[in-house]
Amino acid sequence: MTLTLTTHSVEETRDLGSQLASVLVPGVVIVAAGGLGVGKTAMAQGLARGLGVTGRVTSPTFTLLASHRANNSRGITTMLHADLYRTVSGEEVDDLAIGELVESGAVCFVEWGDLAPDVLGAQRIFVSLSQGELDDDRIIAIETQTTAVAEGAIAEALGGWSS
Amino acid sequence: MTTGKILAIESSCDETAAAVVTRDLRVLSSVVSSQIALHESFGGVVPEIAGRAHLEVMEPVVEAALVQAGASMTQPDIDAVAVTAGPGLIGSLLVGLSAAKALCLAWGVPLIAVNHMEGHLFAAQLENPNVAFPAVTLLVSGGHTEFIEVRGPGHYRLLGATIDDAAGEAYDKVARYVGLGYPGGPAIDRLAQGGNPKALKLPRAMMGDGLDVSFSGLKSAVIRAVDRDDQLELADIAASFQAAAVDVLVAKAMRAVDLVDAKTLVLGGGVAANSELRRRAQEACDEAGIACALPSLAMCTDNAAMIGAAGWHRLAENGPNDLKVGADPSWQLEMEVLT
Repeated sequence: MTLTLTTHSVEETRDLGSQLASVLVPGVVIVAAGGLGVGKTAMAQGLARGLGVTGRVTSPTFTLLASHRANNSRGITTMLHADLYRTVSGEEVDDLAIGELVESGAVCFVEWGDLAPDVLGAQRIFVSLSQGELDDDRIIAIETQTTAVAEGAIAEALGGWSS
Repeated sequence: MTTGKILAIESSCDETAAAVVTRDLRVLSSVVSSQIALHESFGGVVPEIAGRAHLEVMEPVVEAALVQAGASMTQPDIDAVAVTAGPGLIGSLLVGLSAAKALCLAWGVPLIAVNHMEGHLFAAQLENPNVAFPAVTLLVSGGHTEFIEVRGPGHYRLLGATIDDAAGEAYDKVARYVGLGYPGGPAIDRLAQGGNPKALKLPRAMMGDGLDVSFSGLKSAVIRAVDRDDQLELADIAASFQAAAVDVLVAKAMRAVDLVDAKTLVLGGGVAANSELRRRAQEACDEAGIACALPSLAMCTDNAAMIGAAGWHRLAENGPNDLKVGADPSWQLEMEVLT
């Protein structure tokens, strides 16, 4: 089952990311899909806020993988932020070792993660962002592919959003 | 020891580089094995390929740097080895760090771990030893867009930075979207010369707000404009995008200059090679009556000579590092932050 929501501004996309943080547990990888300028980094910034990351979160397109210290009550000590925009094969993404890195108390948000979802660990939440009707509208589809986070929990955490 | 020599090694991102730099910051050699040719066919830099390529070219690059400086692997005539230990991708950093440690053991010389960012802050001084302080350095590349006050070697304050995309990233993404390939910056710069900078109405984000910048909205605005109108001339897209990006960078740089009463504006990073940014920065500095340091392309982009210069400073300030020092992918350069 896929949960589909609409946000109407970058700030709303950030807020949605922040609320999504409340259902995460260590080891989860968020696989984010969607074209250029659709709000993937904004959602990652919101997620960081929700996880208690205090440093600045910017696009990791050139750095490929950033690590932020997190501070929350859910036992998540690190938020990893990756970007596969510049990679070309699953083998290369595999070298970033995201599946292994999240095993030590981390979660990871992977921009362009749909380019190589199979090497991003076993506990995945798939998030797809796309342009909505108005310039600033974004349609955001969320599907959990891990038993570690229940669909109902996501729906409840994001209950304030109308679909 | 006024004639000492440092061998410097850099492998934190796309380039494998080695250089020999004297204590008085003369560059005896600076070798960069540009990996652009390898990456072009992929439309971007590939991490795994980058890591493997570092490993393959490290030894020939170091050897070339020594030979060009009049030395050799067996008769190195080197007093210390400086190496970038972060920030960067762990795999790429480890190639350089391991090579540096091996050479230190073989030659019996000390190791100096250098922060890549601090290297960029030293780059201008290699070509222009008389940079007047305080200076504002605009470090602008694919991974960086930062305004840093430099009061002297080792004394830095972060004044502002991007809140989302780096300027060079916006250049590359816009270029790739309109089919200009990689690297996108030079292609846009070239095309923009023949275009109308007012053809597209594009936003100048955060112009009224402090010293932070944002390029994500500009990138999205260009993409929306291109999606809406497929009759747009590539040259007009390039000129309009470039005008918007440079407007913001120069306006914020000059605001930073005003704030700290800087005597010099220094450009650094790959985007500092952009012709429009150089022209407009020089113009603004002339108007403000301050110096504008525009390093050569070789010093703007990643190189090892700047790591050598920062290495001499670190050695004098903190002494050498233990050979057990590790690579730190998210090493933040120690600096004050403007609040």
